Amino acid sequence: MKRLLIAVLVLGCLAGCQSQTKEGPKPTDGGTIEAPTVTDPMSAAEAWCAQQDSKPQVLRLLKTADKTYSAVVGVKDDPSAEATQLNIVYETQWTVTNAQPAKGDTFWPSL
Amino acid sequence: MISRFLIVLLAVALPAVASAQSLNDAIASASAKGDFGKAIKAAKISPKGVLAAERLPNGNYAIEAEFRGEANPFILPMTAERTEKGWSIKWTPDPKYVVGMANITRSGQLPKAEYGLPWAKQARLPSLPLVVVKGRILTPFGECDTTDVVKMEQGELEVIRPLSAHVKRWISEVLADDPGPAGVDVFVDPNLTWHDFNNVLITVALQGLYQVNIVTSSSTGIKSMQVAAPVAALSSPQTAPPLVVGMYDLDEVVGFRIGMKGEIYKGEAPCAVDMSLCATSPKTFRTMVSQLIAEELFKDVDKVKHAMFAATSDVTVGQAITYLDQVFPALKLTPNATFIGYIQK
Repeated sequence: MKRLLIAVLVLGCLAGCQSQTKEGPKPTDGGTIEAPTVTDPMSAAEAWCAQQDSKPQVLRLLKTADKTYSAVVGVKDDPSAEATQLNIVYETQWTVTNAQPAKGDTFWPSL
Repeated sequence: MISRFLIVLLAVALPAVASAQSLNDAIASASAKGDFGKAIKAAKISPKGVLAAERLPNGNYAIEAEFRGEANPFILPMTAERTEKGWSIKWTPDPKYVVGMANITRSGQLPKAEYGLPWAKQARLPSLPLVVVKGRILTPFGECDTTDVVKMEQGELEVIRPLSAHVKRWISEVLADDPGPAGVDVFVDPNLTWHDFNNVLITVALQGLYQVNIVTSSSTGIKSMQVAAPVAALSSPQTAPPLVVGMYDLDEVVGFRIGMKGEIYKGEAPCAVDMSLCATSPKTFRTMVSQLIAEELFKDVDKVKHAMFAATSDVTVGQAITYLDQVFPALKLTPNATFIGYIQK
């Protein structure tokens, strides 16, 4: 029984711990950021946020073209926190392909 | 004993094994449940995925989900919550609205226009959708009584009180008072009078929703013509005065007064007193406006950054929109730089 118990606990830990220790997106030489396999653009943006030290949140997500989204991530109501604009594209999976400081006037149409 | 203990342990371990529900999965799941799911089925649409999401002050998200239809994509607003377990949908529109929106879109009973972007391809924040036909207004909260109105202190327009209450619910319950989204999608019957249409616009604009997306029927499918409600002009940062295009339904032609700073431009052959030009069709209107520009009668046309398009009460929405459709390319204006106006008798 003890052996079974240990096996189950190890299984549970493996699944749980994997999500904690999984390697996240890393900038490549060309500045491209690879995200883990994700099923939708929001998950891609969230995965990118989870890898940042400041733990930003997705503030806005917008479909801008076919298979392309833009997201603004940051800390809401914190003026000192710089917002970042992500470009998210579907190739074989949803992937954050670019991250740069958000420019409100170019991203959000204003009257 | 061992097996019971194992089941308990597995139940504890499972949440870690199962991956969190994605936002698109949550949309699909909500679209298959309850009365909302039945309405989705009745409307013959199926969920495709998220189009837009806006984080709200209460930590939830206002989202717009795209649905596949037979000929055109559809958009429905929702609210979603993100927890450690994943995404879940907290609010969906009234089933009556879902079916009403699908019906008016399929019927083709929308204003005809070619300008604008396909409805589901317009990058914008979640917008309050309204279905407006004579005597009926459907919102995501249900139906509004259009006879319960309050006359505005000045002028002929009326605020529709039940619609005003629905807009307040949208702002407080759905948007959690987030100041960002200020849009409204209007599915309007082209036979509605310009007066009744402006009652709707003024009612939503007085609550702060001034970005108006008029959903139109074009030769390539459903489009969205983005204009601004007149109240936005009051707080517009633009300094130059707007070019005003006034539309008057005369007996056999349509008369236009076009001017700026109170000065009315005069065409070479005005059809009626004080009119700049008269047109027999939207096409001739565009040609005549282009001629006026070419003849340098519009001396300040290059300085025009925004315009107001107004019409008299008896003009129908369908008539007005076909002419408004020609204003943007003729004056090289972007649609969201054009305000909607109303001409009092």
